[in-house]
Amino acid sequence: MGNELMQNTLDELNDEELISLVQTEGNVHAFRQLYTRYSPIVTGLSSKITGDHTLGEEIAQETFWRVWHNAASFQPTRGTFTNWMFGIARNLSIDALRRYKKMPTRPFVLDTFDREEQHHEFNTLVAEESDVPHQVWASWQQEEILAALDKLPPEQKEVIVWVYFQGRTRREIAQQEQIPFGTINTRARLALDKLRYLLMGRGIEAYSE
Amino acid sequence: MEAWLGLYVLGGLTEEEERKLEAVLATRPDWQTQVEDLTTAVSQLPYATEAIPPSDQMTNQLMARVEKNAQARFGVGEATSFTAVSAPAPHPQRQIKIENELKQEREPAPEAKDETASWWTRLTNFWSHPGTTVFAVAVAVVLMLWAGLVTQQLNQVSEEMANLRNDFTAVQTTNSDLATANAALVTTNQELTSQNSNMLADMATLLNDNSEAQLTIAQLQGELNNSQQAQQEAETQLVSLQAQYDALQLTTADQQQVTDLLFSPQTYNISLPGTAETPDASGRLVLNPNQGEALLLVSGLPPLPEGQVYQVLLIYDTGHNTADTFRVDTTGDSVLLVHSDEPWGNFTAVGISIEPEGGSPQRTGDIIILGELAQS
Repeated sequence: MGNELMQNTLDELNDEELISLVQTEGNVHAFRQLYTRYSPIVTGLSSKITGDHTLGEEIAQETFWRVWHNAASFQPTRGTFTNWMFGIARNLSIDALRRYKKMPTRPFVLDTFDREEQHHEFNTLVAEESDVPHQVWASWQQEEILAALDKLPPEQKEVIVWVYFQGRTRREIAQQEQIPFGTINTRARLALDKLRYLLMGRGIEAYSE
Repeated sequence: MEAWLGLYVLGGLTEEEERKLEAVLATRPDWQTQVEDLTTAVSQLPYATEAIPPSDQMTNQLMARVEKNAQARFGVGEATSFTAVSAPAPHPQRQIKIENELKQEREPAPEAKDETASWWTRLTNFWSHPGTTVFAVAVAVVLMLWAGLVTQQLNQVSEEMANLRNDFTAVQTTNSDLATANAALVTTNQELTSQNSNMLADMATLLNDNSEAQLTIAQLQGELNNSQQAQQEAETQLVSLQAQYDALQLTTADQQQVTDLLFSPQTYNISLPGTAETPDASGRLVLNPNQGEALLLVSGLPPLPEGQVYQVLLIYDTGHNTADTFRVDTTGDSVLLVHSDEPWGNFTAVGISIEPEGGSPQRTGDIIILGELAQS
């Protein structure tokens, strides 16, 4: 009974409140709540970047271990919890790519949104008593971000994929794609400005309980 | 270096470039604002990937590692860790309730204290009292009855909880369906709003273009009408000038003949009035009875259609000769030299009739001008 009430209360805490419990008290329940919320997204991100599901899952575990172990280094004044956590996951994924000198065997393609599949997954989550509202919100967010990315000019979307999802620096892009530095700078900036504008237009903001 | 901000936020700079940029960034609040804005876009990119739930094995391994570490670092485990909450929570009443429940679970029941005897002595003394046995049996019976009642109530509560859980699951399913439907509606609404505003803007542009085009068309139509009117006037003038020109196209020989005719002492002129068919027509013939040519001037004759010409008739007592043919200009005027193989004194009158193109050997049409050659 006590655990159930505790879980309900934790459901209502936002990310920063949960990580604060981890920081100050070593609260395992709060950590588990963060893990439940974000482990599918972190695993998906790591798997997408590395092109390897098993490696992606290992990186996700290492990401959350660092979230737990280095929770004290998170400073709310410098950004959101998710930015901090996704940053850890992305850096680990890029490091893994470089360490193993491994590039994904298939061409990098962003996912497409499948509404039927999402509906099925929601039913599964409900049956498992997972953090359903958060998962619903994350799914809606995936649909919106994919739609916004599709609205970008191809050369701008390309830069986002190269840099964020493939971990390539502008020097590498300039050398491999034969594109001037200035053009890469401009495309990256325009892409983010437009993406931000599109997401604001679609009502995407940071999730809060 | 400001141009690097997009790549910096995306993570596309080398470490050296990042260090350089961050050194400047620390002194530029306006750049820091830009970085914050751009970060809001980058923070959404992880959601573009498909969410993949980790395996139970991985989850269990991680949580076991965390539990062990929590014991070592904080001296707490999963069962007790939440009791030490100090961070702000949105529902303090619920939190206090949890703490009380957990406190009750942890704290042992108060024990009776007898500090003067051992526990074994106290136990034997207690049971040796005669009323104690009766009292104990009675208490046992009451406790058994109470335990049965509590068990029954617990079963009922468990059953209600199971029902509530089922209801809750159903509500959650409905909730997720509604959330999905709501998200789709929000998206559709935003797209429709965007399309609507675009269509309104396009419509306004088209209306503006249309009114401008209509104005231009009206102006052009006016200019075209003016131009057509000017062209018609020019054509009329051109025809008139052409007729005048044609009328003046007398050969040098003709001019010489006209000069001789006009300056001869025997020259005289006669009037040629229109007949009843053409009362407005008139003519004048300048002639010398001894010459074969005479100058004919006519006016008031209507222009003839294609295939018809005016022809001069040289009339004598018993018949007539047909002579030169001619046309008139748009004003009905014409000047020509009329040639005759015979002296003009042989003829009694001069007339003009309408004949087919090329003229006729004998008159076929009505005489429209007629005058006697008698010298007035």
